[in-house]
Amino acid sequence: MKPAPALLVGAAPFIHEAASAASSTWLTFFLLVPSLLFSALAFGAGIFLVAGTALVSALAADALQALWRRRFELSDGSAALTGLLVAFFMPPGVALYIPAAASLFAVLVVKGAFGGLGNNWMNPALGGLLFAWLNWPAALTGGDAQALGGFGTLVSGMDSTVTRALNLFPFSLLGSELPAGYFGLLMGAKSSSIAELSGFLILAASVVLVARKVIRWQIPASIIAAYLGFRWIFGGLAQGGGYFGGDALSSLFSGSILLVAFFMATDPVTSPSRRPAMTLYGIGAGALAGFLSGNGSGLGPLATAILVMNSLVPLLEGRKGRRTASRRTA
Amino acid sequence: MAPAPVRVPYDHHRNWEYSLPVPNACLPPTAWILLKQQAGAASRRVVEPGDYVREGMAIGVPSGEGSAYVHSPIPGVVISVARVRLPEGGSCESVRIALGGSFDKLGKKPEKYRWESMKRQDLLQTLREKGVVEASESGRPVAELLARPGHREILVDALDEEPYVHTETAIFRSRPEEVLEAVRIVARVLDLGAARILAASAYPFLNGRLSALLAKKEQGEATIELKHTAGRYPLLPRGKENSAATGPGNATLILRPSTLVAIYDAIVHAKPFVERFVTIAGGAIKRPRVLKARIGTPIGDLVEECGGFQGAPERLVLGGPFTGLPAKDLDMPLTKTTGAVLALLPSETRKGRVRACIRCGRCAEHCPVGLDPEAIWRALSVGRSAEARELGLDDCISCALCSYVCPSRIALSQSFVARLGAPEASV
Repeated sequence: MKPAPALLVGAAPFIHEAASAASSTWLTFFLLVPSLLFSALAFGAGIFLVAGTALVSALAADALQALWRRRFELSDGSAALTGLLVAFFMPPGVALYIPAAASLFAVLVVKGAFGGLGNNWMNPALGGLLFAWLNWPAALTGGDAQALGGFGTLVSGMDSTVTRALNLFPFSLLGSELPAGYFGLLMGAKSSSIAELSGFLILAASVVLVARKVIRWQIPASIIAAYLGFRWIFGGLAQGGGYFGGDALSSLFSGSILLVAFFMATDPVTSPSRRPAMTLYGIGAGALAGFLSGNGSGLGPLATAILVMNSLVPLLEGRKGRRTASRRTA
Repeated sequence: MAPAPVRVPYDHHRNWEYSLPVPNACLPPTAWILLKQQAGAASRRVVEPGDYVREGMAIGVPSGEGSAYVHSPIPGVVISVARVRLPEGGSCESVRIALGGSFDKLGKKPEKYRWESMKRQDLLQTLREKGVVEASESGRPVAELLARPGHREILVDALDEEPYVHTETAIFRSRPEEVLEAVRIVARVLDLGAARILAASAYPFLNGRLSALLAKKEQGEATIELKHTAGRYPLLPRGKENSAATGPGNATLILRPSTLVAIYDAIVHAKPFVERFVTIAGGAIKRPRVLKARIGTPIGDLVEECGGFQGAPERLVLGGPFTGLPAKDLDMPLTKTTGAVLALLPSETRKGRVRACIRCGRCAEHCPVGLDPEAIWRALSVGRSAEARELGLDDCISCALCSYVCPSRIALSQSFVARLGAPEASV
């Protein structure tokens, strides 16, 4: 007879849609790499040490829990992504035991203790970060303006050029003026954590995530809308102003809200999977983050907002069951 | 005029063209004829090794309800009888026949019998004797199906809902007159005045030729209405209507063109069910085609007929990619219920490792009957069948879309199918 190929047997379906969970996770991981490189440009190669520590700790923790559970899932990429996200919230010169501790807590306690991937109720990276923030708040708040060095001067120079150009056209025609600093913020003239550097690169990566259907746009869109609204209402209070006086736009670009909204709040394990619940979840997270954020950014309020909403997901989704009673007919 | 090949727009996996008229496959030098090609019990073998068989001679006779006659598709000598495993599980006897001798029917102009004057009982008897069963996965004997009371409507499902497969469309396009005549035969048996045909709206070519045919209705004949529908999968709530049709008081009898041409051949030409249309496709097939082939032809022969393999297939499938059965080798023979043979490359199966559920909700988003497959799967995996049924397990139409979209490659629909078959008492 003809040479028989090595065939698989097993029940239908015999074909599958392209995206696998692991490939989506790795795509997310690699979309964050440009942001890391950009940060290295600004802060120096030292941040690779921070990122490396967080990554290695997360992978080691995953190997440990895999060994314990006798189920090896390292190639699913979730631990690597957790490690990278932890690193993104670290200030450039942080003591290395802090990212290590955050990664270990994230993978071993937040994920592993609840039964591994798919069974954790809170986002592992955010859980680990909150753990670090509660233990070493001083080390994680407040940036080091000196760390930016020459890069800071470069970006603020660019900022004044671009702002002047934009004010000539189109803003002068509209009778308004763009204050200096926004463009610099978007491009990364700020000094806080690694990730907060470039809102622009995060936005670019998020476009790919939405286009590839790795994340649903409803969650980040509702988070950002609610966050902007609440920052506008409450953001002025911390500076001694009244209600409705917050500088919402600046907090959008200067905070880590973009990274949180697109890369952490959208984690399929800990976010709702149905559309109405997604929007509610996003509005809740954005509003809470905007309300808690006090003056400016800061990891604590963002992590708290998302984790509170993570815990509410079962409530938002309601009783699982059939969506409709009707059956489609030809 | 030779019709131009048609591009199939809703085959999102692989566009390919089939040619009309549908070419005949070569006769197999050796045919394996399974004695179980129908829903019910295996047929009883009436030939022994060494026997000479003529083309269309019965080699198996019904052994009870749901069983059917099986005929030799080729003239020749019975070489051996073996027990073989069936892709759907279980096993049956298989008769191996080596081609030889003279042809009684092939190449001769078929006689035409006038069925209009035949009695209902005679029509049913002929369908039984010619071994006509449903030419789709269910494979119930057509005579038994028609003898059941309570049918109020005939619905012809002339759609190929699954990717890759073009069998039904090819039949409807190449033999519309015979399909329509078979519908009138069935309408006559059931004493019904009307029938509906569902065809894909992607095939406007059907309009002209068919409306002329449909208009040519004689006094007292059934009115046949053609209804176009968009091509997508799943098109119909599969299975449910069909199985409900077997119960008393239910309305719709669903038949497919592949079954109808077998009915036509049996009644009009007195031809037993020994050949059928079959799609040979998939990324690993060099020249995918729709062929007319003899039952019992090894699928390897059919693959050869399509230019052989390109690349190493990971899967061989009997039937469509969503509802077919796996074939474990190329010796599997074509049966009355095999509508397609697919050879799929790893880039099409995209198997991947089974991983933890990440609760992404894609299964619930895609379920055509609005179930939450994840919730049902979780209930079943901890043995809570009652809860699974409460969540709507019994409404599952086994379309397998949930497993198709699952990024963690969890065997959702497979676990439901296993349960759907389980008796109620086990709950």
